[in-house]
Amino acid sequence: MNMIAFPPVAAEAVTDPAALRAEVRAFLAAELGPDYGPTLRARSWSGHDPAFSRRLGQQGWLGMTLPRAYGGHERSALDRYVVVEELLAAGAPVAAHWIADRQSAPLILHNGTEAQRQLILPKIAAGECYFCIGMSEPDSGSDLAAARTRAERTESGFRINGTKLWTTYAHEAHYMILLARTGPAEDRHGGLSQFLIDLSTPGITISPILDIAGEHHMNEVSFRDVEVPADALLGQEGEGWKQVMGELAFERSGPDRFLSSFALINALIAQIGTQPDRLEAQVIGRIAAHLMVLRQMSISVAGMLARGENPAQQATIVKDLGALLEQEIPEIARALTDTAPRPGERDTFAAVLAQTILAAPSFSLRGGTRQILRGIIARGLGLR
Amino acid sequence: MDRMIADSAERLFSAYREQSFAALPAHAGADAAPLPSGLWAEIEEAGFPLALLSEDEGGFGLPVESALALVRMAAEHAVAAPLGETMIANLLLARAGLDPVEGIASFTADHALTLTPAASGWQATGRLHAVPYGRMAQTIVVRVETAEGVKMAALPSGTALPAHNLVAEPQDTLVYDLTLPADAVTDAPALCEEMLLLGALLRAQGMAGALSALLGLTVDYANERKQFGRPIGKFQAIQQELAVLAGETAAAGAAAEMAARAFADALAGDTEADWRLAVAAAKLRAGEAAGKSAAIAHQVIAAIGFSHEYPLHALTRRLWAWRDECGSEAHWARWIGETSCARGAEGFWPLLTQPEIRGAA
Ligand SMILES: Cc1cc2nc3c(=O)[nH]c(=O)nc-3n(C[C@H](O)[C@H](O)[C@H](O)COP(=O)(O)OP(=O)(O)OC[C@H]3O[C@@H](n4cnc5c(N)ncnc54)[C@H](O)[C@@H]3O)c2cc1C
Repeated sequence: MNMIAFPPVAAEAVTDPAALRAEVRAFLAAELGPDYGPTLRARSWSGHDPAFSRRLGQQGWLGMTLPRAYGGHERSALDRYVVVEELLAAGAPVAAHWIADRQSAPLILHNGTEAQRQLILPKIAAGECYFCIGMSEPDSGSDLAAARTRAERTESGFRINGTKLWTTYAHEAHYMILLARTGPAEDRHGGLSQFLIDLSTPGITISPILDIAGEHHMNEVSFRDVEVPADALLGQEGEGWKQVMGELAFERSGPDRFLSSFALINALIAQIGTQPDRLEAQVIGRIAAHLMVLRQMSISVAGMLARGENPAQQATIVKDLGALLEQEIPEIARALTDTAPRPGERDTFAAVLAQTILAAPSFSLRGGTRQILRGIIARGLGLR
Repeated sequence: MDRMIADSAERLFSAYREQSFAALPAHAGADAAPLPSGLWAEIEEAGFPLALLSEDEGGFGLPVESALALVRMAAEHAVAAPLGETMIANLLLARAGLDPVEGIASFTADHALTLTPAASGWQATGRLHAVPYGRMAQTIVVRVETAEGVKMAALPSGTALPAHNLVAEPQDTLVYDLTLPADAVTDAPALCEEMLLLGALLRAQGMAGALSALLGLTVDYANERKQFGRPIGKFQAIQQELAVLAGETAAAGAAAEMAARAFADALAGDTEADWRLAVAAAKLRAGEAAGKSAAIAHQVIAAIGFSHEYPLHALTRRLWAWRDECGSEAHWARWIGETSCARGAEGFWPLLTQPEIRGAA
């Protein structure tokens, strides 16, 4: 059962994680300051702050694994892991660069033309260029291959028509990586291609969709006769499906898939105090054990990425288990504290609880639903 | 070297799989199963009881992780053997400067024994409860508090009051009233303080091994068993259950490896990370996986899996037994929780990241 093996990382992939970790912690303590309280931290990776992203870029902590020729730092995936997990644990405002650094940059590095790499990657590494993911549509959610947004060849490039939905931070992004149909609808997989879309192109309309907390993270992005040049094509025409699967492996693999409720865990421990009763100790201990094991699994995935392997199955398992834990946390917190959630308060336990309850449903939707992930795992088991 | 040992262990344990299954008494309440004949001799022949010792200590310099993988492998084949117990007992002896012993050895966290100085050594009296393979062990290693400080004693078997766990492994009460020679008692090495965790370490390995076999068995069954004209594994409801089983199995495997690595680091003298935390977390996580996974496997394999003739219960009964031995999930959760809360909220993340990322050779 190779697909469930989580091998240790190779020695050569690790330099000095403890030193890097100390450096990141010191940076975050100084950068975020004492007033960066639980309410801000509880936004997890949806806190948006371009100035912060640029400072991370200056530190050399974005585009870490990219070649130097593209503004990167040629660090290992494990070094990147250290930075990413520290950012998440601190609840730092990483949303601006998050998607670009996590998945768009590696996608462009692997599939982009030299010109696309030169144009985009240095800006991502500097924390100045932000991306959004153009996969989902009104009639194409889990069934991604049913995408209907169409890109037709024109004399100078492509003309795009269609609607993308649920697009996180499209309203703050410079580019979208768009999945669109270039071939016939019957050719479900072969008819898809990816495009690098400059969101300032005329004909693109970005409209907000508020989530259940009333927050504006998601958007509808409509394309009406949007003309893009031929070199907007990302990778090969007709290879969109394969590329998107590779992109999803990056999207699903990280510690962002089990640390979304971390601020609430911290708040819960603060609430309990240093002398827990029996039940409190038991509950916190169980969460700690789960987190430790998920972290080991996630580190192993980073190690496989560093070796150039494709840990798609393992990443899927981590995301499925991670979402379960993330969603259990608010339920556990309620059971233990008997506190009613209070949205709008600042830095109280009740406020963090409210934020987490209202965010939790998305944990097993974004990046692929629970059912879809389990279908992928079942395929890995040879059942389908 | 490593690979060769793994291969020969694989051959050894797979050869005893059926015999070990056949040795399970028909009734769970009846008695412990005897060891398959010939098994222990072959294990000794292979040198496995010394697998945790360094070359200086009389071992063959196997990495600690590989030594513990032997325990996982035995569990994967549902082969009953006091291998882990003997390995740890020999390690404890070595850490106290004593030679490893011949034959089966065990250890226990129960320290209800009294040692009083006697003319020619020590008088040992009292009872040790739930000693794994107690009746078969020629040597039992225990920690004892005496008037002269904390000691470690290597006891002979004692009078066994037989008891056994859910999968017919001996868990005997040993009754002592005898004189020990002076050289059977030493100052306790540091490791001796963590007897329960040492047992937990073994159980975590065992559960990881049994789970990986459970996943294989259940997936194979789902691919073969047909209902409504197709293999049941083609039904999405079954696929989703098996995906959960795979996730739990993966988590238990990763947990067991995390524990083994932390223990290896600790034996190598690394004091930076707390191996105890990693082992406790692994035992807890594997125990939780055991319960969830056993339920899924029994649901998927249905009636035939509930029958005594089908080998599923050799795995699930092990899982149900081991999750409660050497500290249940509740036990370790409490301990980890107390440790975590004592450091306060700001200390929580540093605690979790204390096993620093490091590469394997
Ligand atoms: C907070 C948030 C942010 C998001 N950000 C982005 C983004 O930036 N870019 C982007 O492209 N998308 C984004 N998404 C969309 C996300 O990827 C989709 O929600 C997801 O893929 C599911 O699609 P859907 O919502 O249309 O549900 P559907 O696909 O309609 O599914 C509805 C239900 O049916 C189940 N189901 C569907 N098919 C099957 C099947 N074959 N077997 C069993 N069950 C099935 C699903 O699991 C689900 O429970 C975001 C979503 C959320 C909630």
